Amino acid sequence: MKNPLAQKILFLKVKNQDPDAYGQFYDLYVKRIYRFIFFKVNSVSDTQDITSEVFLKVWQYLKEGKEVKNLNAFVYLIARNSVVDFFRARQRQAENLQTDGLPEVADKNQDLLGRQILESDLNSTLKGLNNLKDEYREIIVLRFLDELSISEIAEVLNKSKGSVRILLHRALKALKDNVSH
Amino acid sequence: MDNKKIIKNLKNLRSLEAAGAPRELWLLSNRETLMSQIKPAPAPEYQAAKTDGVYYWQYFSGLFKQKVLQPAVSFISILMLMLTYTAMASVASASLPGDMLYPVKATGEKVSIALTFENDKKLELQMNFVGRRVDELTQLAKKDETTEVKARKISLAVKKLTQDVQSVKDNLDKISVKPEDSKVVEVAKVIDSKTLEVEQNIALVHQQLPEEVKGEVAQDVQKAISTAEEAGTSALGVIVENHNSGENKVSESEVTSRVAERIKNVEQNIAQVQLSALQVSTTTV
Repeated sequence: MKNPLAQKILFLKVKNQDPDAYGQFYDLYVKRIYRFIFFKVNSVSDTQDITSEVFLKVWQYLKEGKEVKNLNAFVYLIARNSVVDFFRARQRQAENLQTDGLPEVADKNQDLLGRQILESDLNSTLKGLNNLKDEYREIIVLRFLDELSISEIAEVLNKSKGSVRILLHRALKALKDNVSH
Repeated sequence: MDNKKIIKNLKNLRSLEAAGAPRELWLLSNRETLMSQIKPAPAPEYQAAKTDGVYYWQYFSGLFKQKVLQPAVSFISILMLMLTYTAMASVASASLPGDMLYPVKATGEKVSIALTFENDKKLELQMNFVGRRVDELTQLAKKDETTEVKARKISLAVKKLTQDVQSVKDNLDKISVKPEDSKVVEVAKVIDSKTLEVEQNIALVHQQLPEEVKGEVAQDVQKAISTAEEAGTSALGVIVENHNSGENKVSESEVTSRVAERIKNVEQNIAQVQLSALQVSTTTV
């Protein structure tokens, strides 16, 4: 949704607990939130569960009449907290999927084309991305995969725009180093 | 691999499941599940759904309040405060010691001095205010009031005058470390001349007061005159030092005439003191 005014109106409707508007909001945010969670838990099934949970939690929060000043930042906050809750609840060891750069696939219907592509130099980029520290990976995903603007990232991460630019620069450098090695 | 290539690769990862792209089937089914969980029962007929127009109104009215109304209210508040203060200051400018608005006048003068940064300009301003003190004293002396009230107000006025003259002297002492500075000399000349006038005016006002009041304020008046004399003497000292330093900002004839004037004034003061002492001794006898 490129039109900022339309987005603001949509957010107002969502805050007023309009279910249809919330459906549109889901369409706008689900892929980014999914990816955000995926790079933290590295499991498709768990990512699906947590993503569903996030959107339900946001709706429930709004339904309780609680004020949400910044919906964009809020949904990422809920996603982040849900991931933390997930790890606490499961107490699982993080699968070291980062060593081979290939994430778990939930069922046999694997993305065959994707596997082929993975064997090309995209694989090195993905491996490099998975080998980054969480903070760097997060910002790279937000900026280049989810295509958030610097302002939006600043809201999500609760940082200044200047800090975001610096962090992005460092993250990109670290990714470059990982990929070269 | 350069940045451009890396960014291009990152963007290409977007559509891959391996890089967190959700499956379309899952997206749709999850949406359905979510909507079934959040959609309420069909609303009764009499409840009209909110139209888009309502949301646009909500958004723009919020924006108007934030960007226009709140700043406007703040601006008007500040304007009202400023107008009120200006009106008060204008009325206060005519007030005399003992009047209700006199503190407003005094505060205004302090602010003016604080906002003047050059020392010589500060001193000039202070001497102007000393001139005001003399005017206030003259006006108070002419006012028709009871002895008690008049004595109290005159005492207040004289003490304020003494305070202001002392400030002038203190500031002059601070800046006179460089007597060769031409600005310092010029301001010293002004202080020397004006303090002579101040002493003479105070003495004159005192003489014209009713006897009962004269006695009440005699001590305060004496202190005011001696403070003015000290300030004048300090200023003269600066002028003489400048002349002696060879800077030639002050000619020898000017120095001579100023010193003579000062000596004459001191002699007059001594004579006045002797006369007052004689009057007191005559009265007691």
